[in-house]
Amino acid sequence: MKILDPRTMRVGLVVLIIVGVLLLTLSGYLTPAFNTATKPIIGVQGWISTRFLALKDLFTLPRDVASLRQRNAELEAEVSRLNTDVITYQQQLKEAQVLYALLDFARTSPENQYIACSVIGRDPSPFLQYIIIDHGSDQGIKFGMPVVTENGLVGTVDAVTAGASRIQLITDPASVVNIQLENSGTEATITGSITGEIQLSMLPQDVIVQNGDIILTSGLGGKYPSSIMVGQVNSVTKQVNSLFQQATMQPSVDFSNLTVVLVITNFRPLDIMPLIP
Amino acid sequence: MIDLVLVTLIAVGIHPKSRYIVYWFLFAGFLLAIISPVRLMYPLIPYVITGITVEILRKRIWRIPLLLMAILTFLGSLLTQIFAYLTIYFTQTQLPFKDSLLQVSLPSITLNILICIPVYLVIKDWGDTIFPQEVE
Repeated sequence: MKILDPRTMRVGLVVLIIVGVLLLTLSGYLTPAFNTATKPIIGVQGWISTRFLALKDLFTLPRDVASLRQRNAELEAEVSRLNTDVITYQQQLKEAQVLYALLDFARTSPENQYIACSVIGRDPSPFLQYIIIDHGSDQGIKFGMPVVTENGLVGTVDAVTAGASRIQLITDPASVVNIQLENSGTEATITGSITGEIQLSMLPQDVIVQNGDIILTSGLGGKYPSSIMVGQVNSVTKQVNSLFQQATMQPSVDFSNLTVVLVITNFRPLDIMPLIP
Repeated sequence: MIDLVLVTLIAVGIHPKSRYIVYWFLFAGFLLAIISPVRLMYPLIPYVITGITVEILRKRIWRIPLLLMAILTFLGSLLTQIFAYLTIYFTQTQLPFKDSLLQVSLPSITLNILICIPVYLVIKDWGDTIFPQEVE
């Protein structure tokens, strides 16, 4: 019979063996045998692979280190540049916030014209309280013009050059400002001191002054416009045998952190000294 | 308030190789006088007097430079404080003497003396770098 031909039987046997092996493999019976058989091969392959990679690194690493160093330097330069940008943006943001606050203040008093100036220096003498700003007569600054911030009164222009001006702060010992208390309307004066503390004087004894009372400029004397915020009463000292009460005030402006100020340019200070008998 | 300009100029002045020190004091005093609101060209006059004192004393107490530095800092600071107080008192406003002494002058002089030694050491190092000593 043709079907019992030895060649056909060999082929059939081989197919049968292959199918049997496949079935045994798929059913998982041959896994231990495969593991046992492949373990030495995997070990050898791993050993060869490790040596090959080490040999490859030996030839290629110097080039990689050089490129990595170059990349690292580029990234460090990039980080430095970005840090500089961040600091610049933070400063610009801070400046913009100050300018927005000043703009809001200027909008609340549209009758005044302002020039915004940066503070560029402080007086070297320890006895006096002055600052220097970056605008002068070329920008329209004149002697005696009042200087304010969004928080209140700063001082007055004391000296002017073409490109800069010197401002006498209200905390200066030689500074005298006529003020009025907002609640009672009582008028008095404030004077600075070498410690930076501001004293209220010429307060009549019969006026009731309380801590926290708002102090505004009165406009008397023609040196400052009226109704500019100056500060609040801090403490009151009343002596029976004295003509006037004494008080100290807390200025509304933080003079130690002045960065930008506004100069009121349309206010003409008056010199009333010739009129005083 | 620390007068760093004065202390630095004194430290430069007592370096043996420095020259024209009075002119440096004159220059610095003039620059400060321009921006200072204190009248009578403060601090030009006390700076020049201090410069002349430095010029005279450095030839006499040259063996103990630290002592010379401390003495000159004290004298210079005292002179500038007295001059500033008197100028402001007679030409601008009558400052209270006790407050001026206790709250401005004494702290300023003390701070200047405290800082004079480190300033001297830094300036001496720079001076020695710029003018290296000849080895015999």
